[in-house]
Amino acid sequence: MSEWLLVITSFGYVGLLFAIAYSADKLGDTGRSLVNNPYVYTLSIAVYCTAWTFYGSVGRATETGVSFLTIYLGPTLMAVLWWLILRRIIRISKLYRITSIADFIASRYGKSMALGGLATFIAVVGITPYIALQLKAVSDSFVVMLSFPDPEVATTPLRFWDDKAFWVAGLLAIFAILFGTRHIDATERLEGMVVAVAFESVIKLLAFLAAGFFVTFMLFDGPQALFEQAAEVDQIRDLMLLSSLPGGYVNWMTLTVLSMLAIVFLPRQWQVTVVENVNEDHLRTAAWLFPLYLLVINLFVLPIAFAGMIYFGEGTVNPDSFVLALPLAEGYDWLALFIYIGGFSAATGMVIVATIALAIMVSNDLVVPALLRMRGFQLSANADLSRFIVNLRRVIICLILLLGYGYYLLIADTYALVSIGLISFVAVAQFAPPILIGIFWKGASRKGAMAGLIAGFILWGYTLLLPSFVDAGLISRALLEHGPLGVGWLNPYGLFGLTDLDPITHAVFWSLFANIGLLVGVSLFARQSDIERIQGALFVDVFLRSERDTRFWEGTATVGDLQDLLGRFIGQERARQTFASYAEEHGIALSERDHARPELVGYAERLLSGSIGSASARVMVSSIIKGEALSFEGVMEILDATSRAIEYSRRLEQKSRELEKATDELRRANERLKELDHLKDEFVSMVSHELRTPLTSIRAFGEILLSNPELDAEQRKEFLQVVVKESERLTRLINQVLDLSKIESGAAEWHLETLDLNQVVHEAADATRQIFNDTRVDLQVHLPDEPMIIKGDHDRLIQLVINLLSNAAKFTDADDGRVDLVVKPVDNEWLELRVQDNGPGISDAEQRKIFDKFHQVSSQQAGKPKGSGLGLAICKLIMDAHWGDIRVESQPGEGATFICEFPTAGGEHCNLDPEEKS
Amino acid sequence: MQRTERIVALALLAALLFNYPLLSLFARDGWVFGLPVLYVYLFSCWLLVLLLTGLVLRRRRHAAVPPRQGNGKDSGHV
Repeated sequence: MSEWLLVITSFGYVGLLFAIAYSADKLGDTGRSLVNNPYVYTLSIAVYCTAWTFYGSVGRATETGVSFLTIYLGPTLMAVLWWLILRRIIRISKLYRITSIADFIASRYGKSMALGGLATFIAVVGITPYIALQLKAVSDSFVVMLSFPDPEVATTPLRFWDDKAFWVAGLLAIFAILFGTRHIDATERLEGMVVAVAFESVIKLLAFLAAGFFVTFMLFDGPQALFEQAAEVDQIRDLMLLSSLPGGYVNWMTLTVLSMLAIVFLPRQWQVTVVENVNEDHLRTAAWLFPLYLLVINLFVLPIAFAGMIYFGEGTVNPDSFVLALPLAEGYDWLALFIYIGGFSAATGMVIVATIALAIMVSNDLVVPALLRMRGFQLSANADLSRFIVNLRRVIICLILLLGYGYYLLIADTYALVSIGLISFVAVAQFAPPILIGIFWKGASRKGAMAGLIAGFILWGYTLLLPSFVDAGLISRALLEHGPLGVGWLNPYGLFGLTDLDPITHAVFWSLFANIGLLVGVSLFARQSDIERIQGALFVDVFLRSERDTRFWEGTATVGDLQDLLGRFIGQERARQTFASYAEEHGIALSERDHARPELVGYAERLLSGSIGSASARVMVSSIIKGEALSFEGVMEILDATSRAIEYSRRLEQKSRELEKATDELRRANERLKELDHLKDEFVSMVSHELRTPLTSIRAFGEILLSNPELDAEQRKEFLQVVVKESERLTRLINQVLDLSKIESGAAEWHLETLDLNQVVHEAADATRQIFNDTRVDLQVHLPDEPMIIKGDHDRLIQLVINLLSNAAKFTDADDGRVDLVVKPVDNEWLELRVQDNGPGISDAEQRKIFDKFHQVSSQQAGKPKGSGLGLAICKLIMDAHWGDIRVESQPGEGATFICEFPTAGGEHCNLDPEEKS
Repeated sequence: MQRTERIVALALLAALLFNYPLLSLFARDGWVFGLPVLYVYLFSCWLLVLLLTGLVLRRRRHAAVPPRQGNGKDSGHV
């Protein structure tokens, strides 16, 4: 493939990235942010997949089979725990404006400059090989594209200006400078960078899948056929098992743990997951979507590796470049070009984010603190320092890329991609103990963290970095065979005689053992300073107390001094605006001569932290404060007072809620009383009215009989019958009224016993048989075979059923009327008794009133009133007394159904709590 | 917090699935759907773990339980 086509495509691709990042930044400035989105967030985390994944995994798979998967299973395991660990880190970082791993460690252990500087140093030294790896991958892939299948040209060019890796590094430096250093405040999101990286994640996934499809389905007849062919080669069949795994299961577990730590503690991962996180809730999506991304991008690694081994045989083509070599060998140049771009995007994404993350670290935690230490610098710097710091970061970006390029020239050629990456993984794993232990254990101290980090780093350098120089031929091989100066127990690959482990496991064990051991051991015996204890408490309890305005300063400074200080680092204009908006938000007036309130000082310190790191910010603020920082006890007192105040107001709120509820209940009770009073009046007038009708008629007929003695016997008998009938009605009415009032007042005597509802229904049906016979209404009783046991009053229940039945008989037409009585269980706790008729039915409006006293169904529907209007009211009371319920279901014109529900436990002896029931 | 407990349990499960000795049960010659058994085992466990993660972290909706019909009336006075 021609060189100019490759160069133009590569540069064109970076140009596209520029365009994407630029428009994303522009969109973000106008408020239409693209990064506030869980999917962009997840894709940006996929910056984890670098050239290592894209080219290196295949190479690794040809040597050790499925062990390449450990690098992706680890993150999957860690993603499960993200909600517990990463969310805590994100919350802390946002609250205290922490912008990098180094700053996090420094801030946790008492805003220690030394610790921040050390962590930065470890990060830079540890990540340099990783950046070199990407440059090597880009350069190698370029050579493969250019010269395949002629392997002779595939050597590193002699002059660096001929080397594509150098120009790529330069291009990426420009990108990182343009989109990584727009603002000085590192807590402001680099939206352009994030969106560009998310875009790169899509490209590399598509490119690798394209390679996988091509190899699996075009070169071979699907995965089954491919694996079948592979199994015929002995050497490949071994790769399908774990037998080819060097170091066996121990190595497997080590790599898994290592990648678990890497997914959190690699500086570029920290940048995209913590610093660029917009919303903690995005973790919910990322925690499963990111592992899915990893799964998909790894599906075809093994097929491609096996295909390459079958296709090329042994030793002719570097396995790291199978992805490109296979399509090239088959003459699919355009496909190879697309895959090349995928690998290019995997490499550039990593380099961009890692460089920016490291540059922020180096400027905030190494250079700026060092400059502030220099007395002269601090005094002379009345000028605007924000420009200076931004430029500083730009220089640092270039230096870091140069460093990576240097390592690439020196070492990279002798190593496979994966081995280089693993060296970096072990380096960043050193951050795990001080951070993970630090966010869960208040006792972890600065001295412990310092000792642990130093020991871990030295051991890493000795057992991994140093041997890499041996392999590159810079140091004599004797070091790895006989130990330094012939001292065998100091052998970097077999420290203290521990020779059973593979180099990575060996290094991980010793470095983390020393790191954790010293951190815990020293912390258990060292005294913590006040600021360490404060920071420890703030970090560990971040979810308990999250009030932002915590005061740390007891001394005084004027508002003007504070604003000047801030202005030197973030620009005077922005400082003025920030203070103005603070004043507005808190409803206070800020005048330059005023003493700044402690809250304002804390606020300014956090703002500064975002720009120059927490340790430097503390030093700067303390330089203008007259007086001391608060003691641990002082801060804790304030914090506790705040939490007490919160607790108190919480309790107050609860009290007032209870009060409200009580008032509500009182009001309801009052309303109910009024209603009852009204009902009583109504009742009295209703009863009088109901009594007067029969009385009037009795009196009228009595008077007729008295004043007309000459009436004939026939007529006299008729009138007397009327008198008797009306008297009966009167008696019945009075009995019902007495009944009702007895039940209502609770004076009725209830004889509760265990009885069979079927039996009751049977008796009641017999008692009403006559009525049904008279009106020729058909009564059908459906009882279940087994007894329906409830607790109840026998006589009252009979009264209930008779009332319902006679009601039904009354409202159905003679001759074609039909009444069904059904008893059946509803569930374990409830029985049901239904009385269904085919009468005229009851309208909705009537249904609501039908159980009221003296309510009679209106005459339009049912002809003239046929009852006293007390029967259903009594039924309702009886049901209430049995803890049951009565209701009616009806459609006008289609009959009515009265449904009584009884609790099987029944009556007042049942276990049902009336409160629970309602 | 129940979610925390679920997360820890899931993490332990995943750690067991991806390590010795469970792993060694599948590190053998054998084919599932024409694919190596270890390959299939690793990828299906992977899928299982990430699905469960999504399930555990899903935002919970507050569903009101409908009261049982018909028996919710006020109780009687005896």
